Amino acid sequence: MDRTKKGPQETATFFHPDLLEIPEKGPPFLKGYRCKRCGKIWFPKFTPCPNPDCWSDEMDVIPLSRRGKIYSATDVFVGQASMREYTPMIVGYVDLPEGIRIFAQLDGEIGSFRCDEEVELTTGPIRNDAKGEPIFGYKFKKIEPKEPLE
Amino acid sequence: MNHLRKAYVIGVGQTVFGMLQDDYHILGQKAVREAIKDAGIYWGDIQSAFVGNGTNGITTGQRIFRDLGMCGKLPIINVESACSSGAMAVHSAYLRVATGIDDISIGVGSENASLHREPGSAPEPGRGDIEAFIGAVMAAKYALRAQRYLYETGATVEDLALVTVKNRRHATNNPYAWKKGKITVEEVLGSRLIATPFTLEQCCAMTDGAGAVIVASEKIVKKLGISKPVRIVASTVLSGPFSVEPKDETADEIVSLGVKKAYEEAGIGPGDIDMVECHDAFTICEPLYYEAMGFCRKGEGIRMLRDGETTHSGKVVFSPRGGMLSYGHPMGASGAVQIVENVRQLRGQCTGYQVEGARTALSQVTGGGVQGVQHAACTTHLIVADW
Repeated sequence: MDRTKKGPQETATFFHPDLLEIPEKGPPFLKGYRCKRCGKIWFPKFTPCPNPDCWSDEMDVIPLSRRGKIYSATDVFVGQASMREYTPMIVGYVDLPEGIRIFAQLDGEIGSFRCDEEVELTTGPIRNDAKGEPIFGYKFKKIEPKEPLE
Repeated sequence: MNHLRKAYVIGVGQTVFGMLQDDYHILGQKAVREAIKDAGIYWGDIQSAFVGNGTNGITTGQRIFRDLGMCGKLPIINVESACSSGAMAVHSAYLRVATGIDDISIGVGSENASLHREPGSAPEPGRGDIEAFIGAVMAAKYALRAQRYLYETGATVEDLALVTVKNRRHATNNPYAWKKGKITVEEVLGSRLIATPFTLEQCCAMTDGAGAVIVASEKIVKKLGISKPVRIVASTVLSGPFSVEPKDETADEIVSLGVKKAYEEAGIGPGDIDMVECHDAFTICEPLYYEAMGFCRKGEGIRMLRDGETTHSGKVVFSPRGGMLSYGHPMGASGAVQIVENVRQLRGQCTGYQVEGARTALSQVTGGGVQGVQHAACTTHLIVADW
């Protein structure tokens, strides 16, 4: 499932090309999967559609919104044994307007994220692979103001 | 459930809990032998065995019973649904008796986590789960629920710490409990951070231990002349509803549904329950479950706790054994040992931590958590003093 892909980080390993698209031009986005038969939107990719009255194998890929709202966030100080270099780590649930909840790492300062705060998609290393090399994946970060703050 | 026979618990056994040098099979054997002794039956009377274990490998049940010389004498079925495994083993033994297949069946939960785990790391959801890959650990998932609960209700982390204070106090005189006795809110909050708002003393430890529950038919109860039979009036298992949509993490759908089903099976309601052993893996769980089980309205969990309604002399005693916050939580063992302790409470055997006059007890344990599913499983038992 891992693959090497040219992207903003030069040559980087992405843990799942079915989930995250980093276009040559333009910002990265998450891939949603809309069932062609029942219309339900899923993330991540499921085959077949997990609606038990549908089970269709055919899905349209749709770009999911890059912005969402934090449902909840926590600073994790004791994590998985294989992720020591990544702690402390901020994780949260981000709700997207498409009606999808994403569990993701949050990029930013410990203790700085609040429930119901808006965040936007970014990318970065999320864990190491078996060789100890970083794997890049999706994360969310605070929305940068367009104009410099006065 | 009229087509089912009455089923009773005739024997229970447990080990002391903690970080133990005995591996899971030794712990399981100790609990089984104690349960057989407690029931006053011959080992050969047991017609089937169900064994719950989370992480110790394959054919764990056969390993436990082989060393007792019982392998080859009865069917042994291994049951796994993470933290719900031990309770599911008892559920399976219950079904075997209630459906009339067997007159005596045993449900065992056993686990040694500490001998096989890297210290200083947190357990994660199942392998291959997308959230686990991104870094989810169970403490973080419950911390997310706690953060939202505090945000929505205005409760504080000091309130959450009261759960540990209460449960450790409950366990003070319980010889089987691991961490027990007086601890202050300041000490709970002063322990090291695990995942905000949780400090170490708000999280159950991955300890080791075992519990065994022998289930039997009415015929056996009469034959043995048991004067204080404890009857299982409900035993429910649910799998977790799945959705990738936003859900209310301050509610607990599977626990509400599982407990409601148990109330219906037994024909009773929350007002009839004297005591509860719940899945208090983290402090937030208790207020969430007061609400999900119908002991108070949504958002009132912390008020119940503050007002002392969930301790001795309150409305319903939660975690009289000290809960997982005192025993620790050996994945496969917890669900079985909750029932062991509830049986001992109804019999009036819990000197120093007895719930006075307890006649109806509930135990609830969830299991696992993968993306889109709040808990993979939830097992609930209701037992009553049938005399």
